[in-house]
Amino acid sequence: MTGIKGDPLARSFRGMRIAASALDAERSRIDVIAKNVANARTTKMPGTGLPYRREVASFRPVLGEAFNGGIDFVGIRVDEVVTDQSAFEEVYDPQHPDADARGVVLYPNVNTMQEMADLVTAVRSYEANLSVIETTERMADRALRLAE
Amino acid sequence: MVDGIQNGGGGRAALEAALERMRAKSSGLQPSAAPTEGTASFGEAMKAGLQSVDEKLTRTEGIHLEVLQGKLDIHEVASQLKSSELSFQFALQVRNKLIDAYREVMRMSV
Amino acid sequence: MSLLQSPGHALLQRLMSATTQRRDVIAMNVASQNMPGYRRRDVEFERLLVDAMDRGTPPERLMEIEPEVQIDWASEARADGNSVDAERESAMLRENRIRFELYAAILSGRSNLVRQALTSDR
Repeated sequence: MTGIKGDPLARSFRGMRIAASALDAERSRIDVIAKNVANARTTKMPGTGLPYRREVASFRPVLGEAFNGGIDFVGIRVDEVVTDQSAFEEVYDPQHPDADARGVVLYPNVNTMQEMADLVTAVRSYEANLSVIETTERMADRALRLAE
Repeated sequence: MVDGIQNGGGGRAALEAALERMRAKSSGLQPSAAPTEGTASFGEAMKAGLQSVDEKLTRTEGIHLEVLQGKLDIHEVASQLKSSELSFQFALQVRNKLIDAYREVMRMSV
Repeated sequence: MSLLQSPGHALLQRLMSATTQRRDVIAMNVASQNMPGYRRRDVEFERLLVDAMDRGTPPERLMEIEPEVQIDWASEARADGNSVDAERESAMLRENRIRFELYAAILSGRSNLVRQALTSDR
């Protein structure tokens, strides 16, 4: 059994480190969802004058040093936050201050129900990763107790 | 652990053999012959027993270095500590029995 | 070999001290997680020891190596220059605690044997 020199118990902690990176990634995803939900009715963004555009966080794997040399999977991180280019929602409302020549108001391409579903998924993933961390810790404590 | 049993077992076997010879000799009314032959192998048994105890103590000496070098995982460390402790206790018991036997021998040869 | 003060005994105590120091540095990282420009720090000790051992340093000389607080340049910073990931610090806190318990177990395991030898009633 070879671990990593200078990093005692690295093998024992591998699962925990992977899960910890996932926790951070999911939290970032939740932040993006929160931003979408908060701006679901923002018809005019300060810079563009256009409605808010939905954002999506995408993940990518992180590679690092493996225990036997070589490359191994060590975690995930948020790759980039991309803007959803799908069409804005059009609502006929001539009385609205932001109505255009046709009397149509453009609303963000945010579907709040979809965001809520994504939130549930993200939270469940967060909790699952937290469970991995806590279980790994319990297993380590259990192994230590063998020595008592 | 098996190693410990063999080391301690060697001592125990030797001491029991020595005691057996001494009892046989003393029941045969030849007290002068008994101590000489008995103590030769007895001394060796004693030495082996004491060495065994010291060995067990020094065996745990390098374990933290192995941990630093990433050679041992938690359960391996815990398992080695435990087996070292049990080997040590066993060797200690053998040593104590040897001392008891020595005292018995001293009592008998008067 | 002195039963009570072997070089391994002292080294284990220093490992435990370094681990305590690392816990404090992690706490500092967590407290600074929103400070712009702050990069996370760590305590290097185990790696320094292993590098010294690889160079052939004898065990007694290892006692001269001190733990170092180092900035972790490898971790990525966000837009505000802060590189602290609260979740990762929390995981490291758990790892750190387990390492501490491991060193303590080795230390007390050996002290136990010495105590048994000393208090043996023969």
